Amino acid sequence: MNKRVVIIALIALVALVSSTPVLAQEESSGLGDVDWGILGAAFAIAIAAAGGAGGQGRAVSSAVSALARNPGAAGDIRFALILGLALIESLVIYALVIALRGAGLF
Amino acid sequence: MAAEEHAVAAEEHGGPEHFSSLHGPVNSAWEATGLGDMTGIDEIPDHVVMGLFVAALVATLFIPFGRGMSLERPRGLQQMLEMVVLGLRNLIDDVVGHGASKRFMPMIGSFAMFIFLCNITGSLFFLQPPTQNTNTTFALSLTACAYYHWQGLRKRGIGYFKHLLGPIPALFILFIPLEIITHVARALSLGLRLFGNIYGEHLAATVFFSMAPILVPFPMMALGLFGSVLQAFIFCMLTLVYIAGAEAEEH
Repeated sequence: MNKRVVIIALIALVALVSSTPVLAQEESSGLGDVDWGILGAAFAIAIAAAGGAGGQGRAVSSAVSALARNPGAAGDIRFALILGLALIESLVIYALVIALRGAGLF
Repeated sequence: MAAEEHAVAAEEHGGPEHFSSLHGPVNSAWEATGLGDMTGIDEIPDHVVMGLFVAALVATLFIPFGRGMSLERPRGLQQMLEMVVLGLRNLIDDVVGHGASKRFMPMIGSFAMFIFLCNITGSLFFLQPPTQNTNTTFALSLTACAYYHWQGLRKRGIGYFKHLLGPIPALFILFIPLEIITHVARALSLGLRLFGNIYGEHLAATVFFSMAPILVPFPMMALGLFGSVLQAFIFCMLTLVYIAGAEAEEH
């Protein structure tokens, strides 16, 4: 599973790196037309969302299994869960702010 | 240059650079009074207009309402607000400690109501949420940080600053920068979280709105309503966690 993800990521990276010179050869204007801000913003928010989603998924799954084992502790578990989700989400929000800056929207 | 082009494009699509419909009347009134030349402020920014509007809304809605409430026959809105107040009180008692709700209810309740109403104005197409501007959110987060430092000082006196030295006295020189960074990061993260969530949701709703003005943006707007409640709640809860940390004798 992990190996497959790594291979897909490598293929995507190779495709990205190799496609830019090809595009540059096709178009006479070259790399100057690529808006690196938008491209960087897209990659930043994609990677941040993937990481944040993984972390939040782990947190919610642990919270739900803890809740199933001990429904009496619902209040404490909900408090810890929402606090943790907020802190994880804030990292994704930092990336979003940077991405918005890169895309020129903010 | 690319940034300017995108800003213009966003403006044409009815993006976040649009002004609320209160912006025009307020600024023409501001020009008519002639105070702009005296104070050197040519234009009142939109987030200030909207922030003042929300503050006036909170004051005119809730202060007379609190005086006119009835114990015998609670009406619909009163029951709803009682639920909100009760929930906030339980939250404060859970996080900070029993009996703490009496001290912190005014501040936390104001934060909750103001931030919630600020966020919810994004769902009305002719208004803009004041919290989609970093100036508003950082004003709120710096207020919250000053408040928890003040509460810590009031509870523990000058010994409050001892927590900056860290748990091991011999290594205090290493801990001071870390603790300072912690406190700065708290203010930064409180402000940026609120800003990013509201701005992002509003931007996404605007993009959907520009595709089709009806039916398509409704799911995004429902998510925005949920996010408005959640962000107000998270802001209050994190402020309470920081207050509890400032008041505790040891970490």
